[in-house]
Amino acid sequence: MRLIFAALMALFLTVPAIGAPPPPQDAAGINSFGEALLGLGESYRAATEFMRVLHHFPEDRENSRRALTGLGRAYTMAGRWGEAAGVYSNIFKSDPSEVNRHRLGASLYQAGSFSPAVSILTGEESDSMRTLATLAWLKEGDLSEPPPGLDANLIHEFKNLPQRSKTTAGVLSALLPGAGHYYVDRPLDGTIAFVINGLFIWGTVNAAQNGRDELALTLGAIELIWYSGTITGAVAGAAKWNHREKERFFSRHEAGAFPAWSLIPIPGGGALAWTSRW
Amino acid sequence: MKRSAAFICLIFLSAAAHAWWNPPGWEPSAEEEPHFAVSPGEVITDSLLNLYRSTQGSVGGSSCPSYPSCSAYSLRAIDLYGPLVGTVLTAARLVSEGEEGNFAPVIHKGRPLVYSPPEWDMAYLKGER
Repeated sequence: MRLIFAALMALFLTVPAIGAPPPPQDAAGINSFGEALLGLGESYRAATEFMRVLHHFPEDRENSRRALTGLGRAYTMAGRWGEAAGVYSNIFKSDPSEVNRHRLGASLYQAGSFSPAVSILTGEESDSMRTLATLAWLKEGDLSEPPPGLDANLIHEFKNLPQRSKTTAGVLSALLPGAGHYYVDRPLDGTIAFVINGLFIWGTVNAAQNGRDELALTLGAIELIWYSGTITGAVAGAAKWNHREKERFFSRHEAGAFPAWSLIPIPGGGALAWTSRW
Repeated sequence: MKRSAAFICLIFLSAAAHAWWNPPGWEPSAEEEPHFAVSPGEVITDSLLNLYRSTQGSVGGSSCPSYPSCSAYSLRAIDLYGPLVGTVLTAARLVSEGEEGNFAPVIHKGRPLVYSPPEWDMAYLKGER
């Protein structure tokens, strides 16, 4: 019995040894494997391979640069924009080309670092970079004085986006429950609010007229909650309407402003021809 | 013999624990800490909501088109902003739920759900979103 148990233990103990990765020997091979993983959408496993190259072969400049590019792509695929910006910042320091500037700026933009994105992208001839710089500046929120080099038409369009006033929505709902919802393009919600409030007001008045004070008080208290909720919903609805307009504006212009990213060719094989936007 | 079996089970369990890993950014979301009511109003509203969730809510199934569901939204809103504001926010949610999908993102949790937590609604009201 003990012998069987010992054999089983030995088998269990061998599992980690089988599963362990081989020691790194060839930076190009690891990079190639990482790129293949990227092609399969396995971004975090690919990132590990690229980090392996950067850790074990820091002196191999060509493969380190290739690994950094792959690592940046892995982070962008995973939506980890802060890390991607860090990687592209390193790449940009060693190779300040327009493509790398665009990638760094776009990563910063996606990471929510709008001020650095404006600094990186401003002053470039490329239309897409100027658009992205303008969008980053608009997202910063301070619209007082635009820095030179931004797209004036885009700023004008943003400043003239249609808006719904929160005050108007609230006052309309206070005067006629549901009217504020109609104002912010929610006719169904407005009808529901009107019917609920109408029923509870009718119930309260009816109970009071029939001398059922406790019921009138209860229904009145519940109606007060519905009434407050209707006004609150209309005010929030106006803010949501404005937010949606801004989101639509940004997604409309972001569509053509982000850089294209081509996958690195696989050594010894056919080049991967596809290009994607991120 | 029992000790050996227990040991083997332990090895299996440790292997399973080892296999459960996620790279940073892909971890499952942490469970929220349990919240305990701190005011009489909160005790009453929480009790009513929990009664609903454990009876009608569990029998009727999850038919709410939003995430979090309206009862979960209400519990969260009362937890965050107190029973008065939480109840008003819940009423606003119930009234405005029908067309929320036109304004809020849709997420998938087995079925498409409109994502609208109370924190967002409060941020809209305060002008922070």
